[in-house]
Amino acid sequence: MSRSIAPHIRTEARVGKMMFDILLAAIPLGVFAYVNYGPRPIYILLFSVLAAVLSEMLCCVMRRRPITAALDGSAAVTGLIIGLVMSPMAPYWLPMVGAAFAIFVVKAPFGGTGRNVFNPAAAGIAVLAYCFPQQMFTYPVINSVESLPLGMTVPDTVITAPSLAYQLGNEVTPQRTTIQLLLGDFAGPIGTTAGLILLAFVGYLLVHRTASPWVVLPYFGTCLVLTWLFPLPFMTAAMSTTTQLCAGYVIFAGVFLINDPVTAPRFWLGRLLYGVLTAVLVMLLQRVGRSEASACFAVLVMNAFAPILDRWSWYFWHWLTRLIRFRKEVKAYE
Amino acid sequence: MQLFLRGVVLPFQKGKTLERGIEEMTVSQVRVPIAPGDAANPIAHLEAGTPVACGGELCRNDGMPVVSSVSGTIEGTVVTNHPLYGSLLCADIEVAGEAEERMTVVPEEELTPELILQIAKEAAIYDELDGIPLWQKLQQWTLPENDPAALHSLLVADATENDIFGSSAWAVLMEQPKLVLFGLQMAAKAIRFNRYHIATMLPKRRRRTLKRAIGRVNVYTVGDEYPVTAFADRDVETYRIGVQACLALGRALKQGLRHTAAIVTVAGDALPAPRNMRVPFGTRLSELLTACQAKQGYRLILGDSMMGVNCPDPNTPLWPGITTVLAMQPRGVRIPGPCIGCGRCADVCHADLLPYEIVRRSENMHYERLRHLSPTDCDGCGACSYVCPAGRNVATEVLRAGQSNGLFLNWEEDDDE
Repeated sequence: MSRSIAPHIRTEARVGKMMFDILLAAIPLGVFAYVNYGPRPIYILLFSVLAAVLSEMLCCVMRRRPITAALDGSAAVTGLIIGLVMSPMAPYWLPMVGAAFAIFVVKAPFGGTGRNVFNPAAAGIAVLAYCFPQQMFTYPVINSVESLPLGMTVPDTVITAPSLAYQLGNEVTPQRTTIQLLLGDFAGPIGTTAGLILLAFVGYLLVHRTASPWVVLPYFGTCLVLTWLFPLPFMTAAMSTTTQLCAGYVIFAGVFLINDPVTAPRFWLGRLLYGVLTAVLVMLLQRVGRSEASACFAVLVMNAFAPILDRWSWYFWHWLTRLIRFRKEVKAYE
Repeated sequence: MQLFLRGVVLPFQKGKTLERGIEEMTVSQVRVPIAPGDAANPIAHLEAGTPVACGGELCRNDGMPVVSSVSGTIEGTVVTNHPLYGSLLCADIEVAGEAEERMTVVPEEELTPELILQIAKEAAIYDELDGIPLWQKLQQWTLPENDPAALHSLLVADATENDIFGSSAWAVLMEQPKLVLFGLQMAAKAIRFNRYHIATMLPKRRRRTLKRAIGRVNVYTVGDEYPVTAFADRDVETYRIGVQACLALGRALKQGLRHTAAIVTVAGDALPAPRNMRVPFGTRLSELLTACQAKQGYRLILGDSMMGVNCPDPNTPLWPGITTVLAMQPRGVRIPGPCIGCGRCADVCHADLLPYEIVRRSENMHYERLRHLSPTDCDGCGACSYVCPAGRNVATEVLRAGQSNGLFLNWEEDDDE
């Protein structure tokens, strides 16, 4: 007789399926990048994912875990996220360095999947942004060439353009319409410019319950409210809202970085606070700093507070519900 | 999308079971539990070869009769280990003949609360929800005459059946709704409650039939989520008894019959089709499953799919306390993955706990910090384990943490006393 513990029936939901849901983002964003820049971005994504999975396998060997544990999808997601924020003309080693750092330094030492304190992808991006800003933030003009050359580094002949965040930091009005901004028709990383695709994808994640509405909706809501309340002085109000949302990794972070369940709070009230506070921090850093990657730093800061937010919000909620129930009982008794 | 709901909505698989109605079953031998304990029990004086009738008294156990569920001859006594009740002394009875013993029927006008309790005791009625004798439960709840607490107290006949497979209570309600209601009314009268109703989760069409049969006010519809926490609309104190116990009380009062048979749902993927069976108490489960054409090598589970326990011995006798028997095909053990913090366990917890945090703290042996998370509020409904995408046994861990909470943390308070 085999033994098992109740309940004897489980849901169909699996961690692997959740990871696969996120990996699906590679399809629309990959197609978008292929159309605009040729096959080079696809190779960047592939190398990035490969580096992350191989690093995870090596970690599994070092920690004497079964090597199949590296194939649960979480490492691939980390690699994909790092690949998506690369410039289309970034050298191939750049995302690989980021992915290796994310796995070896940020994820594995804390105990691997489910135990890391900081989002590995965000930390990897932050390190790359600090160490290799030249390679990270040089973007080719969109659709300027048929397809980017496939060599390790892209020659100087490719025309480059300043990114949206850089333009805003220098108080330059970008020469783009709202529609162009939402569709992603401006110079930028592989996967962060296509705002509408990203928003549609987060809708997909919400329907599949891979992302929690308690994080996503407060985040985007707060972003909208903040950009609407504090428009940039050198632009029209409507244009200012769209530009600030599309600049940097604002939408991208809302889809990929804050939805990482490991580093976000788990209780609904904590999640709500986490979403709101991350949005405030992202918009603040975006306004005072000029870095494209300010969203990553904001997410990293909030990761540190996530466990505290989680517990304290639950203590508060628990105390509140008990108090209300107690009051009710007292009233019934009287 | 589930935002404010607590609990999970389970994929019900019981429409067809209900359509088949309740099926009868012939048994060759039953094993009636007489008393807890081993063969040295002083009650073990039943001699082999003694003929007994269905409903006949075998012996008395704490003043309550132990009743033979079939007519036949006693073969001897045997000690079995029941997963729910531990060691039990049982009498093996070989089935023969159709002799039946009935109690004298008291006219309805002469029934007093004390008399109803006495009849419930004499008829050996057990509550199928927890296996406790009905009269014991009712006696605990009995109110004095003209007590104002009767306004806030409600007796509920629990026909929710919120498990995936279980539908025995529904089948009973479909078959004899009026007798169930009569039994419930009498039980409420016995404990001087003014208010009572039948709480059920029946599908809409059948609910309408039921309401037409016994009146709208007597039927209460509970929500779809597992586990059910609200058995009434307003803030009243609810007291639950089983539907089969109500039926048995009704039969005892109207027909003088003792409680000798249970209605159980037999389901699981080792069976060709799930069924509701009327089975005499003490039927060995192996015989029941053979009658339902179970495939060989099944894994036997006493109780529903969410809270049932494994039953290693297929010769275990059927006894009240369960309404579902599952025969599942053995499958590979799924290795639980690490918690990725999706928070679904906290979303579904109807006790508003943080299951993942409790598990984390008890795994890290932070027992002294468990108390703040009140793990003792857990009733082990298993919803958190059900939804966990990593396949972790969250509910088991939380229950264990609740127990360790009592073990490690209350010793200081004990010292003070």
